[in-house]
Amino acid sequence: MPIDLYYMSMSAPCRAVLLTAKMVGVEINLKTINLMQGEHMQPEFLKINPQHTVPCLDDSGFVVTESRAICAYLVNKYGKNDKLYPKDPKDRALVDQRLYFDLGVFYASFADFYVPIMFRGQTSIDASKRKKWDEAMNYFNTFLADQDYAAGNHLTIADLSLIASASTMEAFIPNIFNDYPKIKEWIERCKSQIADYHDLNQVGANIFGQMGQSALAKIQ
Amino acid sequence: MALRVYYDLMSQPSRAIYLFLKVANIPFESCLVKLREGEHFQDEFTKVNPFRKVPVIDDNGFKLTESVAILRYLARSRNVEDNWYNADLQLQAKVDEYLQWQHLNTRLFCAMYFRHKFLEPMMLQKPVDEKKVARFQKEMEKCLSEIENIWLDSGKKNFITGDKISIADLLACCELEQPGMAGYDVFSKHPIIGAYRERVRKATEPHYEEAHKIVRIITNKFKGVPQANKL
Repeated sequence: MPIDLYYMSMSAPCRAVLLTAKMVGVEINLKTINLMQGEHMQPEFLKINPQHTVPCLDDSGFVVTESRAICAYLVNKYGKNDKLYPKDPKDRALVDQRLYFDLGVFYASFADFYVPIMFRGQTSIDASKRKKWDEAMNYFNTFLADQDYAAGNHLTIADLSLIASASTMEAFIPNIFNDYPKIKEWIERCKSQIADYHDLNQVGANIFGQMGQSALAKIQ
Repeated sequence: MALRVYYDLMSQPSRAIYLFLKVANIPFESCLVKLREGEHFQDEFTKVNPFRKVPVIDDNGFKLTESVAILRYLARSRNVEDNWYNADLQLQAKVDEYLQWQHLNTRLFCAMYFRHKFLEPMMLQKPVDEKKVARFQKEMEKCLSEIENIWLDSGKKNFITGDKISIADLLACCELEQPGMAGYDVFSKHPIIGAYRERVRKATEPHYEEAHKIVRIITNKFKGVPQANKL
């Protein structure tokens, strides 16, 4: 039974799903949606996902959007064990906590900063948005002060989600984590444990980074 | 100079030749042919190339047309780095694979799109044939997807033949720059190609932008709209 994933490689949330699918060991059928070309607005895609976002999973007719929900579903349904998304209520609460932190604070503050610059023609840096993003990075750096992984003591989908976000930030502004050494260490730690990290995540992050750096260069 | 090169930087294959000559450090004598003034139709030039096209080279009496033939000839006859057109049978075949594919794909559709969306309306002062443009745009976009997903393996390949830049990449990028003058920015609409172009630009700097200086001027001046200004 084919599992289709509508995605675009430069999108961080899409890459979190790619990393999760690989770690879970499930085969997904990749379907590229070029957002720049408006392919997400095609009627065929709107039928599947009226919210026209990527990533969008179609598991033989069962459609899931929201990258972190997709990651959770893949582990829940196809995982050989629950390591990546522990079933124990307390362990799971810690993973959920960090998934929502990524969604609502970490990646969100970054998106607030880059979307106007990359896609809405903003011609200056918004200092207050940059500050909020710095705060978010600082929080994450603090969380990592006394633990090796985002949630608990081993790799989970929280790390996969957060590393997709973090690597994208780093591609956008290289050395952004120079002030956040715990994040840097955590990135290296996770990379070494994630299969096909370069192809599944770094390539897409670099594509995003190139586009972002071009946009930044125009306004600086 | 033993090697004379006839070219116009408005012409995509001319740019590829120019870029290769500069990047590989091959000395040559520039013979500019102003296409917009119809110099390619004048006797002086048709004596050089009866096909009335650029680029053409005259290598100490040896004349050659067709940018692909010229690129291969220059790579073989001059002392250039291996990566440009590797002598290894299979590596070379991979470069050839793109050089052959691009005639009826990248070149055909990007050039036709540019011609019908911008060049002809501009030169002939006539309205844009929207139907034709739409047709070529559709084919061009299919081509661009194939470049992204197949030739560049969704961005996993740094260059068309893998890790090293070759003459295939020079030709590819020069063709891909053309639609921008008609208002279609290939690189922002297809970020995988955008990232690829950056790699090619970096690998050939500063010559890449030199080769594209006219393209930049035209793009900024007209912003894709074929107005009644002189080209």
